[in-house]
Amino acid sequence: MKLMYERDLSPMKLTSLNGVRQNAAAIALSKRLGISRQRMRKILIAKCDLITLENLGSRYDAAEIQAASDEIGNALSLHHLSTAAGLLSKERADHYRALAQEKEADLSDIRRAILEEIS
Amino acid sequence: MSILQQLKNAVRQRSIHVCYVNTGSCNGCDIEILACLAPRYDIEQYGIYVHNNPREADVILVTGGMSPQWIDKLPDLWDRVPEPKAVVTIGNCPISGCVFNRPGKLIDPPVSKYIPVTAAVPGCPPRPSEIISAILGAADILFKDYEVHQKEKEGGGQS
Amino acid sequence: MKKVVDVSLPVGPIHPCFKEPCRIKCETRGERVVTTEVELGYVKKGIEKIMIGRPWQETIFLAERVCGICSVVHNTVIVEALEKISGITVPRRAGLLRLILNELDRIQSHLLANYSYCYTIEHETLGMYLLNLRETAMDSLEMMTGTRVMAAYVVPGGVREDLSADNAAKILEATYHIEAELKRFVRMFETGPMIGLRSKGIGVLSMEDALASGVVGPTARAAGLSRDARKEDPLYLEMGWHMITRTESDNYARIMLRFDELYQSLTLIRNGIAALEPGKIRNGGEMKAGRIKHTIEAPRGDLTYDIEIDSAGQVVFVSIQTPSIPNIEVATHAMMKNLASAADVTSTFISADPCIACAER
Repeated sequence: MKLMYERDLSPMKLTSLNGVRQNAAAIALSKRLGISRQRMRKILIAKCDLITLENLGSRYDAAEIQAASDEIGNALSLHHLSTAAGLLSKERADHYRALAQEKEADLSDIRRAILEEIS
Repeated sequence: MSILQQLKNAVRQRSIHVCYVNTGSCNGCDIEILACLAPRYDIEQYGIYVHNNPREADVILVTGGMSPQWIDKLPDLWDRVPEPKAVVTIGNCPISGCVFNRPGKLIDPPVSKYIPVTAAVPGCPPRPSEIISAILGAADILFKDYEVHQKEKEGGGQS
Repeated sequence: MKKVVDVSLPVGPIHPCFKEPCRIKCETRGERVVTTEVELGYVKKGIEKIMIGRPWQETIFLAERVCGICSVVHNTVIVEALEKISGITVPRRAGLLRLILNELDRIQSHLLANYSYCYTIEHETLGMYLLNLRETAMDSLEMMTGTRVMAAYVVPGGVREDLSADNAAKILEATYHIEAELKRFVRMFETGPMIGLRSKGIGVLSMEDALASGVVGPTARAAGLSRDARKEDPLYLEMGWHMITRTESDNYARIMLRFDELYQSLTLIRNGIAALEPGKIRNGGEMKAGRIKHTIEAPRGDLTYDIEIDSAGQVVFVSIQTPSIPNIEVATHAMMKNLASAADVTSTFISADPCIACAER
């Protein structure tokens, strides 16, 4: 079937991500998660819509402000993933927060689980 | 000329439905088209109605210099417009790309590469009065005795 | 988009009741709109990429063409950024003329935004009244700059043309005309039951979402956030500018806030014209290399240019942050979430005054 209305938007999304502020936010996100920039871009292109990508810069700044007063959220980048990029739903973010608070959990394990969930 | 044709001419002259397509303009031309709707210029007194529905349009107004998303969609949209139909481009962008036609651009002008263009109104942006006069001028030439011309064309093709 | 329901309703880019060149994809459950998404790319021109490597003189004209509706403010912000880099000062008269022009631009932009809203909720009478009133503002703009749109009136060091006493009197007269007419239209909007029904309590933006998305301009001020770049401008404060905010944060609040700002703009223009003193309208200077981030208040919110030019006068880096990006984003993901009816999608979207050309550049 020829899809008239739905087409592959990846090139357009990549153009959006190449914007100065958007690129800086994507690089900052990839550094937080400890993955390569290319992989971060792939995740963002697959999961986000175009307007979220355009607004990534200001959302990232807002997430930084939120994370400043939240130690666990900052360590797991929960605000950056849920508020800024919308990769993680609020419920899942709370779930991971509870996991981290529960026992003397290894944060790196939870980080790995988060990364698996979003990619 | 038959009475039917005369009737058609009279009706078409006072009922031109317009659909406008923004293919990558800066909104400057679009607000000038919107200004035509204002009671100051009052586009409807000439029988021009802006409906933005290609399926009932007679004239398509194109603004902007063809951004990549439109390249496959604009010819498709053009196919959906019922005959008789015409394209009037507004502004410099559909003609040449204006200031955006530089190294590093994403647009791909001119619009006439993709769909046949009847008339072009240059200007960055053109004034509302120019837009109205262009639509009226193009419509007069195109829609008057449309069926007669169409028959002549077909007859010429067969012989 | 994740398919959560079976009916996905696309609106745009060509749609009888939606004039913006973008596509809103709505996931609906019955009449209720569950989530929405915006597909852009229809007017992407890559202006930032075109600007890089070009002399600064050309970028002034390119910046104007980022957005045709608020071309004046794009012109002003890039020129002010270039002046700040080179340390060029502006004569007081030119500063006041810039203020008057920017407020005239705000008047026509806000009137256009409110017209679009009235047109989208199919209250065409009020829409046409507002559009006719906008022509008065456009006449004043034309008298001042020589053309309706894309005037390139603001130049480094000052402004291009002086405002004669005759024209100043005409602009003054126009402001009184607009104010007298506007009072009627605002009363129509405030008390019209059909307008209020379609506006009150629809498209509510919560404070949490507003803070998370970095929303700016009238959309932020209608949600109770005091965000306005004019509060740091000494000239605006001198002319009697004050912050206007509302708290309801629905469609009605956003439109009413724009009406309130229109009255303020009219007062600012009057105060500006009263403060005009004869004098120079342009200072000289020399362009220097440097980098700066400059923000001023556009009709839609904070507009920031981050620009760097080298010693040869070429632009080596530019980043334009337009107010439409966060406003469209928040309209799509926060205001339009869980709308009661699919008929409110376009009106809620338009109430945030989206400009796709700004957002995509």
